[in-house]
Amino acid sequence: MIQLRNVERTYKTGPGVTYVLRRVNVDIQSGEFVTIMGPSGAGKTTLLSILGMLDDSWTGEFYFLDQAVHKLDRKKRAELNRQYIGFVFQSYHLLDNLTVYENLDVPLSYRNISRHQRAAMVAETLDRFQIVGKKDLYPSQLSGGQQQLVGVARAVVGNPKLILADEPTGNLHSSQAKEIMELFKKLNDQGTTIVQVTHSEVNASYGHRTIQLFDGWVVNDPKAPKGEGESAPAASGGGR
Amino acid sequence: METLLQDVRYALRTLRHSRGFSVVAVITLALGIGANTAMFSIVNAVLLRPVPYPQPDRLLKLYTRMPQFAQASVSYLNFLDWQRRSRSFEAMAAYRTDSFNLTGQANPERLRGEMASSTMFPLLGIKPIIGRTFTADEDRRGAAPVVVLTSSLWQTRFGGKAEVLGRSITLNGNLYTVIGVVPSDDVTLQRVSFIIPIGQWTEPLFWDRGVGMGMRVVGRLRPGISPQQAQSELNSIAAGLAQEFPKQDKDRGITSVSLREDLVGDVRAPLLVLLAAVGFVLLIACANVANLLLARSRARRREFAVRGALGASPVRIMRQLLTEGLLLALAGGALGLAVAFSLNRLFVSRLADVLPRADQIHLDSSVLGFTALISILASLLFGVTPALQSSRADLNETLKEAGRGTTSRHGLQRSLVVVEVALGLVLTASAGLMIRTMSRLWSVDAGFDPHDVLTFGVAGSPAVHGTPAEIRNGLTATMQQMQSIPGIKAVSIVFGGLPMNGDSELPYWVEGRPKPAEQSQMDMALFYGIAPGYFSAMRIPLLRGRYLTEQDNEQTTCSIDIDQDLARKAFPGQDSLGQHLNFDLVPMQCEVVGIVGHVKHWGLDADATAKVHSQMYIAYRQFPDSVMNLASSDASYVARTAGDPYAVVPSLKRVVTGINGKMAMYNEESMQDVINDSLAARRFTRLLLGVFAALALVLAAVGIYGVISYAVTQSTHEIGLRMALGASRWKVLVMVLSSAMRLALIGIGVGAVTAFAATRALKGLLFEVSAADPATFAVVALVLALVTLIASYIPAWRAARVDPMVALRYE
Repeated sequence: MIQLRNVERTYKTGPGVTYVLRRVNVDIQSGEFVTIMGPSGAGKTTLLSILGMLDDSWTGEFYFLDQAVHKLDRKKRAELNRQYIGFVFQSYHLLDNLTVYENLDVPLSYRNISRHQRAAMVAETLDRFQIVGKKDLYPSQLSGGQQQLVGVARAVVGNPKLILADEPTGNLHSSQAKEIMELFKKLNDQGTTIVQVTHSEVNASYGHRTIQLFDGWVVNDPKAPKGEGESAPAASGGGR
Repeated sequence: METLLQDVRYALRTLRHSRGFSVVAVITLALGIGANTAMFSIVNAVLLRPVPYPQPDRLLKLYTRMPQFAQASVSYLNFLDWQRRSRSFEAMAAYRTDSFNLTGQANPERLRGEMASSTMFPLLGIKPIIGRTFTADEDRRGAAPVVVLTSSLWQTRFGGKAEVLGRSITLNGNLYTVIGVVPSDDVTLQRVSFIIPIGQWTEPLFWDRGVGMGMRVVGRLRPGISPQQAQSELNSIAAGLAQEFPKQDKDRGITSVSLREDLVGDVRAPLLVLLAAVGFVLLIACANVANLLLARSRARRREFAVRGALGASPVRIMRQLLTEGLLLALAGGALGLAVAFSLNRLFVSRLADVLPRADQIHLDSSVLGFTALISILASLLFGVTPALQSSRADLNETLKEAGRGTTSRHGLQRSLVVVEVALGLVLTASAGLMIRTMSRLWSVDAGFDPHDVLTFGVAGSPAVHGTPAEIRNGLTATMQQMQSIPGIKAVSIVFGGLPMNGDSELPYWVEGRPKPAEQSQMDMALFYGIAPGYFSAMRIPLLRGRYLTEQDNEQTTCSIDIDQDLARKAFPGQDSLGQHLNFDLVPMQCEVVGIVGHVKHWGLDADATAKVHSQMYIAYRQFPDSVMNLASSDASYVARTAGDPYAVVPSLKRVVTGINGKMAMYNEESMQDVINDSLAARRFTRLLLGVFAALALVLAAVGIYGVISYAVTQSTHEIGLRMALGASRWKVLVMVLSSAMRLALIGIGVGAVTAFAATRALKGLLFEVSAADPATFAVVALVLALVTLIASYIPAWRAARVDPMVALRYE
């Protein structure tokens, strides 16, 4: 589903540049549940945003569902995002002024889907996540776990092929975290590819494999493309 | 006191640190306060400041009331009788302004002079600077001619020297002895150069009880007499005169109005409308600053929370914020004075002829007081709500938020934007209605072609003290010389009055019908004494018959051209050609030889409602000998030119002064400018409303920009999130623009309803445009929508460029 080849991401810092990602080579197959781990500043979130087509300023090659993303313009990349990708955030990021129902409707409203069809999709998701009774509540009226449940529901409402989750349980109690991870597992079992960023070994254990990042380098990937795994110099060269 | 000083010091430092905010707030307030100060200084000078005479509330202006005119001039004989018979008045004075030719001193000069009764000086409290004013004995026919100079002429022509007393000056060919000098800053005398006794005038028509000759009367009430009591006495005096002199005074009454009302009556309504309009501008400015403060107080919530945690009471925090507001307002007020000064210069330069007492408009102590007052009021208006909000902030919650922005609670700011748009719409709609009125007026057919026409006056006779025949020939020769100037296509003298500039009416009756017993029962028509070139100079169309020609002269029977209105009125259902009209005032009988188009004499706007509407044209050569001398001393002319009318002025002046050295040309004005002058009150209202509406639009745009910009900054994360969820840049742009447009639409709705009620105040100034003109309202709504779109485009564009990664980074 995903092939990254020599993907690099830099920031200009005064006269020089700072590398956030260096020569990243990663393959992710459809139906995989991949965990990205690493210390703060390793480049996890940056990698996630590149996978989510939110970041345009990188170099290298990126194939998504056999499409060469690096050759697509911003508009086409946004189209891929809309069609195939769902996001789950650490701080839930529900829109405060919208009800649960309206929050689920937001991503659908950005696609060319009729109001009638959208209503059906939202209703089906509410039902699937058993939050029908909360559909008219505002985020502030929900607990953290409930908010993240809605966050996940929002990510899947458009039936994405890929869910990108950035520290999805970072703000939750362990029991709530477990519930959410079970949910991810279930979604993955149903065929959705999941890439999560986490610091938690427990959460990582729900996935099929873990990619380790350090200072922008992929330092460990059990399924690294041939000749690419663990190619980074052990704790040097990040320039950060 | 010490804490107050501390507040001021802290406020100054805070404002200095947020320079951008302070500058925008001060400029916004300066525009609002400046416009208000400028308008107030006009209202203060024109409406509020007392008339500069002792006990001005006892001064009344008196007019003859006729069926056709509520305020007609007074005949001298009637004035003398009013004066004799009245008990309510301590004194009455008569005066009329005329143009005089001052000769014998360097170049002949055309000057405006007052002919006044001797009672005028004590009545108005005018005291001589040197010498004396004239006595009752000097104010009668046959007395030695004396003149009192005003200080302006005394300074410019006689170097302000006391030796002028006893010297003689020549006015219209007659010698007058200078007996005194009076100040020229008097409101009655500010436009004249001298005063001569009115009672000395020997013109026979002046001594006709039925003729006004442009004379005005002012009276001072006895102490304790009310204007109503005086009016009732005047009514009985008028009734008595009507009985005694039915031929001249039947159906005539006396109208009295206070001197102040007489001076400002016409401009009161537009000035009050404009004062209200400029108040709206200040409200918009205050809404803007309140918005800025609200945004800023949110950003400073943490600061206030910390202060609260350190023991500051809500009142103390509020006082701190109000002090900041007051400093902003005072700075805005100070800068506003500069704005007011510039606006005043603009207004006064454009409106000096429209506004009575325009020379009194300046920034005096009461205007400064007003500025200080509205500055303080403004600071309360824009400062209280943000201060209240800040002082009531929940400490705990605020500190927990730790400076994170919130995306909600913009309700008040959005309401203020709605208010700004609504007020902006009211002002723009008012200005729009005035603009439409003016364009309607300019599209009105005046009945003649005003393009390339010059009007001017010529003082002095081509044949001073000559026989009527010499005067006629002199005037004809003068016109022939003018006609020979290259660039002049046609020229004509005009006695009576030019369209939209002066008027004379003649009572008439149709030959073959019984002569009415009294003059007041006769019909009246505007009359123009002209030369044959008049119709081609003015391009007044001939409908039937013929124009007057050179053959219509003193040797032939009197011929007359009448307009279609007179033809309809005097000869309904008949052929008016060949019919005869009789005149009593100047004994004549004339045959109607032509019917010409009606000219909008009373102005493009007022002609339809004028009481005297009919018009007639008589060849000046056919005037009776008895009026030739009066007619020749001062005449108006019109000339059709080949191009710019003003280009021929130097050549015309050379011709006029070259005739006999005693004639002077004055008051040159193109006919287009004459029309412009006739619309002055409306132009004045349009100009000011236009300026205020433009200010309102700019301020509203700044306000909308500020609020949307702030909302975008506060919603950066939300926008990033939406983009992460799939929103395209275009969608974000549309989202921000539509949120701004929603506010604008509510504002437009509220504004339209308010404007619907408010523009009724303009009704009297509108012409062929309804106060709720749908087209104007639609255009104005579109303008407001467009302004909103433009003002919110930059923040919306910025929103569309938000990096969606902010959603991921925001952890």
